[in-house]
Amino acid sequence: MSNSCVGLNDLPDEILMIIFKKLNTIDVLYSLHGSNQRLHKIVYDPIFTSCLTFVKRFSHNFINLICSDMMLNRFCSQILPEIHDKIKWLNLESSSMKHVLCTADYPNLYGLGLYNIDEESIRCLFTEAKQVLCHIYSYSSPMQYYSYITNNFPDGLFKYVRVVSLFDEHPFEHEFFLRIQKSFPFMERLCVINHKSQNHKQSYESNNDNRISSVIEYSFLSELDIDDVHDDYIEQFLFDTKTYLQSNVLLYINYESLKRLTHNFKRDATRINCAKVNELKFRSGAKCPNSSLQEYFPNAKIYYRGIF
Amino acid sequence: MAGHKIKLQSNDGDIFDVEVEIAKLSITIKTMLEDLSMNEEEIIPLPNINSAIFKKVIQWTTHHKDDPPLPPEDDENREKNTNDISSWDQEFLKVDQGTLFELILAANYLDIKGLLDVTCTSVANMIKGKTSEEIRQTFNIKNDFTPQEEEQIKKENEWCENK
Repeated sequence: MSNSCVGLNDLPDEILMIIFKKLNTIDVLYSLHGSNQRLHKIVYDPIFTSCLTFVKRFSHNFINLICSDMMLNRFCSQILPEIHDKIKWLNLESSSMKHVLCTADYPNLYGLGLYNIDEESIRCLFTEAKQVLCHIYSYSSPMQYYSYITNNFPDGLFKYVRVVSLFDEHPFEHEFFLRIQKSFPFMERLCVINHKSQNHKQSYESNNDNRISSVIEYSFLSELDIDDVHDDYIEQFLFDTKTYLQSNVLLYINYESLKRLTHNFKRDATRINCAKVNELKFRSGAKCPNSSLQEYFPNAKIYYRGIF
Repeated sequence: MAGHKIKLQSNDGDIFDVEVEIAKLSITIKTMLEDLSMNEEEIIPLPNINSAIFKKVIQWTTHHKDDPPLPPEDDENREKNTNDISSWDQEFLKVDQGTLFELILAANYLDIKGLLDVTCTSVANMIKGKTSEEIRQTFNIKNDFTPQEEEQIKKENEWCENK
């Protein structure tokens, strides 16, 4: 075989991307950041800089730092200060957490996964740091949480997460809920807080619209909190043309909103999903039993305000 | 069609008789045969591949002709695993760097996903764990940062240390 003079730097960008994508982003940045101008520029691609995972999952959910102390030091001294404004997501474990978070400001960070960390450490960390929307996974706990997800959620598969909350000052459209369901297929509890009306609400009013084909199925959802939402989100979850619920769901909802959206408990479009509720709790509104309501929720035990 | 052969010509003029089923592991050749209605007597030129590299490509495709298709990549969520190179492929890829990169270019041109995948994985393994200086040494890459850019990096490091 004759020796060829083709080198790594002669490969086109798209092939270099194929090669680099076979590595963890930590390996890519550690090895190629600062190597030469072309490679340095390629690894500045958001594919490699937007989400950094400093943890590795071993068997039985054992989590550890993915890199050596030397690698971590290089990240903290050179790499993170350069790419800090490009980072949107960090996954950290207890031994690396403080180093990484104190190395730089992360103005565009909206997701932080913390692994192998106790609650006391979290409290210490966030009394010192500025308030961020924080996503906390605790593998020592039977419940896994993912809180305050916004429209900027970058997707991914989080099969250990059971409790999810959504909050944004911009509307959540149907497609967003579809993404959430796909990312958290085993979600058992969901809380939504959003006061902005959906932009594409009209598109889902009837079965004639093509987009209605994506009914979102929440196979494991047993608790739904839509007590503090715009009416559109009540329709989002109570229209069976938009959402498929399993039976036996605990529903938190505002009584007046429910009454309005169900047309005084007579609306057919919301009847199927309401029949799947087995516990209905009002934090405000109804104070006394209501026969129309009970008929509309035939399988639900209803808890009125102040008595649950 | 098993056993039927086609003629493929490397860029240095050598002509190879290759079984159609093996040649069709290359999507590029498969497309030429099917879409351009090329018959088996015609010589198909491969202007981007020399005979030494093409021999290696034929060796790889012959060994892997019965492999099932590769599953689609699961992009970012896939656990990165660069250790899954078979022992045969490891032996096959014991070549100098230039040959390895030419194999990558050939696999890309011929659109042979399996060969592209294993050769790129091999290079990824060569990168893994190395410092940027070691990368430059390993791949004979010149440090082309200007002194000003080097200074900028130093400044950023000082900013970091002072925090």
